[in-house]
Amino acid sequence: MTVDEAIRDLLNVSTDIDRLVVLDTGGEVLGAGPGVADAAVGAATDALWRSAAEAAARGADRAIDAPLEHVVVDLGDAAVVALEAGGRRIVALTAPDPPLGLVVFDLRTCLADAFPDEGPGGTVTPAAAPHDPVTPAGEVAS
Amino acid sequence: MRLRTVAVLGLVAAATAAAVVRRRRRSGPPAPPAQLGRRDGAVQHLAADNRDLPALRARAEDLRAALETVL
Repeated sequence: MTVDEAIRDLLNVSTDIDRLVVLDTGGEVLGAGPGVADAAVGAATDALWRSAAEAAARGADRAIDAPLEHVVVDLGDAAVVALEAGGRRIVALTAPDPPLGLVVFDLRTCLADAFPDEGPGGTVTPAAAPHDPVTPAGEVAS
Repeated sequence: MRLRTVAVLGLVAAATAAAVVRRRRRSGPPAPPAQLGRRDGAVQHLAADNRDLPALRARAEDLRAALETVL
């Protein structure tokens, strides 16, 4: 399955995702839908990721040092979701109040469909069930 | 006539109450302002008063603007 096919499949099944872009490690756009993405998405994604990594480093328990896998920011009338796996990133703009666990799972699955040759040691693994633990604000759920 | 009016008002009140209950059940807890997930499965929710949240929101708005630009 190509990147474009994986994106099209996801947009067909998800009513929560309005827009979707897949990027490589350098921020280059590998695929997008619907339509063609602005190249500025790469730099904007990188800026969000760095900001999230700084917030995570300050707020997390010292015992937890695993790298970031996904970032979700609620913007009121929409949400921005970014996920990194297998050295690639996928970012989405969603409808308001999306089912976060399901959206993150769908994005992970989209990357796994687009890049199935990452190998068992790769981080693109859609096998995990939708997971959206509810924890008190500021706490870390394991 | 008065009895019929009372009955209609009662039905409307009951339907409204049922709709409110259904909506509350469906909506669940409100989404956190931001969520940071790690590769080991840990998920960190940022509270509304988290000092990192304004910068994160600004970056997210920039990304949203870029995503909404369709060439």
